[in-house]
Amino acid sequence: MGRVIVGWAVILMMAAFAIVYIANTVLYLTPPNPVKVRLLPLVFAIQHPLFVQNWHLFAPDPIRSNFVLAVRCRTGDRITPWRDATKPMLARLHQDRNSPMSRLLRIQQNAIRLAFGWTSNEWLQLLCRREARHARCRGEDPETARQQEIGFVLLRRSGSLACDEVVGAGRATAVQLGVLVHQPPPWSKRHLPDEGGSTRSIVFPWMRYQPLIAREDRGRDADPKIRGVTGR
Amino acid sequence: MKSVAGWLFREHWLIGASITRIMLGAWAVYYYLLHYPVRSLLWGPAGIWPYDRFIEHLQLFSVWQLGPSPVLFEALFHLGIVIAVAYTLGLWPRVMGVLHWVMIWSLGERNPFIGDGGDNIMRIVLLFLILVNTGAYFSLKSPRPADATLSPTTSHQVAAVIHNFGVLLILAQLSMLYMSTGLYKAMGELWQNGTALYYILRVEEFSWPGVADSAFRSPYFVVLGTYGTVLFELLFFPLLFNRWTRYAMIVAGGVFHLGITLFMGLVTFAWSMFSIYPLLLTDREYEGLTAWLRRRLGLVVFYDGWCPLCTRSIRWLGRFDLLSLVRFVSFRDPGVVERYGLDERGAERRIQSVGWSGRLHEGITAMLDIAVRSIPLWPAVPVFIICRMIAGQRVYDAIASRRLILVPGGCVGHCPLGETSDAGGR
Repeated sequence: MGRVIVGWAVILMMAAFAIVYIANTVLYLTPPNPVKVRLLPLVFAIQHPLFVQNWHLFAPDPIRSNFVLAVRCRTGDRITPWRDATKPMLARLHQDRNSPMSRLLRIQQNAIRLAFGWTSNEWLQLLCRREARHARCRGEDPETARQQEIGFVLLRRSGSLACDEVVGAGRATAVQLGVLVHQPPPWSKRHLPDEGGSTRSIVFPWMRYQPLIAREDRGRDADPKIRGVTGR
Repeated sequence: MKSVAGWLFREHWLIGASITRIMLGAWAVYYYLLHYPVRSLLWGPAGIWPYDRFIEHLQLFSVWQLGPSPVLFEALFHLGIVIAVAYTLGLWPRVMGVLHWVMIWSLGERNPFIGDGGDNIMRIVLLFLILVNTGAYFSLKSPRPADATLSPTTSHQVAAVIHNFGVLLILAQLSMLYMSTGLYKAMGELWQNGTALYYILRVEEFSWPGVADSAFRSPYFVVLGTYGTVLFELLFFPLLFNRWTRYAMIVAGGVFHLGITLFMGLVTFAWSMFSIYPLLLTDREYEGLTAWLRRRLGLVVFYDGWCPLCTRSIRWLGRFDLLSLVRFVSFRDPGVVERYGLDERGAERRIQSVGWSGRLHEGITAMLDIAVRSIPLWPAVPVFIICRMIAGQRVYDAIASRRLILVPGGCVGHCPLGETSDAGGR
């Protein structure tokens, strides 16, 4: 008898957990809707941080631009020419799918998106459709500022690492980054090469050089995998 | 009600859970080793995401928060590799399940800028796998200590209930993933007009230069791929409820993720998604599948039991038949010729084999049949094929015809063995 009670107690406990988890996750994953609005704090409290998830995966609007990071470095009074820090990494990725380039590329690609203050926040999209002049929609709110600041931390460190390659480790004093946003041709012009698309560029102000990777790791700069990060 | 409880009190999906454990463990080993040369940059205290920032943005916990020392970093990183290997091998599966989740979670917390959907689903699945018995198959597990407070059946029942719910939660999670992304895609304009795949494949980060170019310019490929993706994702969950449509979804998922890997280069993403798929088959289905494969691949080999060289070679070959697919029978044994309808003169001349199709193979072809079924002999398969192409049965016959035949009752123990090498077989 005791055995049956223990067994049923566990079944009920697990079933309750499963129902709560599945119901909450379904609600968490739905687009903004009235039920979600009402229960939002609870839904997030259950889901965060252990069960955070995002399955947009190229939806609803797939990514359709290339972001190219360009770097130039200052040492004393000399400024190096611009160099492409993205294409060499892409080349290595395309050459070998089993390379760490896939993840290394994501750092700079995500950093650029963060620095631009882009977000896939659906609530924000709803808000901005109604109130385009809202501070959040113009990127003048603390949340966007925080996101951009993280983006610039990552960009500055990526740029500094690139300068270690260009002028030698620790020799640069300042870094400047530019981003080329390239949109490949649309479907109707699919036969055009990549250059057939549109390109615009954004140049960020000079940033102070910031050495990274612990000093004892300096010797590893010669490692081709690390060198690839910065695009030589 | 009773039958539901009875069903829950027995562990299901044990084989699938073990395969999932191995696949996710191997994923982590691959991931650690792939990024080994760049580990300091990705996760180190002075890497791309500096230590103080990481602490400031910590969500829950991470083993790396213990300190910024590079020595500690190295120690924990290598510990993570050791845990991943132990988890893959199935050593102390319960303990390693927890530790492995802790290490993978920590990695994601340490650098949140390199993750993708594959990492995301893996973190959740690894957490649910803690509830699951992942060490029942293919593992070097340590024996489970008996629980003194509860009778063994009660603790076993409780463990079974938790295990089954763990698997069901993982399957529910996978279904919600596909449903969510499918619905979002259906809302997107480019997914609706069938060109989404074109735009994705034109982004260099997700392309396959040289190959994708001709694919993304083909309207048939692009529209089929775009709509096919949305349809697969939306239909995945509802079609799990029928056995045959579930099999179809497993195949469709395989094609879908393989396509993503090839065209978009997202290797680890497909790997972590595939790792969940073994749970889509029940233990009974795996057993049925192996039994069917055994029937299809089973082989009976007839050798000459009166020839010491043959007997020795057969014993030697038998050791390589790790999957026990081959049954070796001496045609000299009483009744064998009649039972299998063998031609005794043919059997005397060459080794013979009969597979599932019932067709008789002999000589070098029979040797090839054996080699194909014995994993350690796979390197020899091309040798046999080339040998057969060049010389047919001649090499085999040259060895077999010179063999020594000892009629039982003749010499025992000190008989001279044939001068030929072992390679001859019979």
